[in-house]
Amino acid sequence: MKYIVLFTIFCLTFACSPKGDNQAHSFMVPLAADGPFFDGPNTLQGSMVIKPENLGIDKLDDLQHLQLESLVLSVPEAFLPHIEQATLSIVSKNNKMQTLATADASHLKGNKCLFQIAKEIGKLSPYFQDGTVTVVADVTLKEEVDANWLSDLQINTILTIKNRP
Amino acid sequence: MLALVWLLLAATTSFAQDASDKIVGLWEPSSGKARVKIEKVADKYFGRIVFLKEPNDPATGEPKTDKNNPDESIRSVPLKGLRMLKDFEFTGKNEWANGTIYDPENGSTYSCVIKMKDDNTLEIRGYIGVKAFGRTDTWSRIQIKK
Repeated sequence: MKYIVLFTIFCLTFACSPKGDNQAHSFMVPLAADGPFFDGPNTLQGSMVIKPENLGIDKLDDLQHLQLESLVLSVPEAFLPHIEQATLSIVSKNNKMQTLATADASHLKGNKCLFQIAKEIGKLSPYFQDGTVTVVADVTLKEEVDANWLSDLQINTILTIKNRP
Repeated sequence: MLALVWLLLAATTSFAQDASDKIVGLWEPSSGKARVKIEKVADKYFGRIVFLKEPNDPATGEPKTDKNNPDESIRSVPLKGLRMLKDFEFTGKNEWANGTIYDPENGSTYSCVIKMKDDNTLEIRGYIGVKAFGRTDTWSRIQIKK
């Protein structure tokens, strides 16, 4: 009986896991907003176009699964001492906004902010299959900063690509 | 003739854009406990808490956080700045739909539809499943002094 249960669990696990080729891929999204920034919450946003040829696939539907590995935001120097908290979210034309990660001052390493990825993230591949992804960063500042923000967010992922016949 | 058609098209597009963006601005729910800034992100509309009447948690004296969020890993996010209205699309006739409203007091997210009664009044209806089973709140526009 024990073996039947174990075999069933094994089969279910195997059946539910994405089948395909895994590859690491980094996306860069430029995030920008014009200053002045006020103390409290401020919003940055940026979009990127996802091209199948850049992922080595024929069409975006071949992107079966996308797992977030890390999110690293470059922080302009003027803002470094004033960051209290930050939240990253993603949205696309046919998919609702969802929170990807959060950070606070303790996540700053030099001029980089290494975000803590949220535990409960839904499937991300449909966002990328839409062709254009918008990333929103809500940054809470301790003090007003009279500067513009223009920096890159690096999204490090593991992509699972559908096996070709 | 072609120029006239082009002008007409441009005017229609601009009018549709103006109508959909009328919701953008600062709003106050009937409770007066918070103020929410509605903005446009990637052709959808989102609302963020930008002001809290009581910004600090009376129990701790610290700024209130999203402590009731079902996702434990984001409970430390401050309430001030939280996006509580998400993913609204303009459907015409002064209505924005297909979005959700998040209630930080219980950590629940509801389907939501927004109707603009007049330029300064919104009717926000949160519901579960069917629109008939829900609650409507009236929000007032806050004029920003220039």
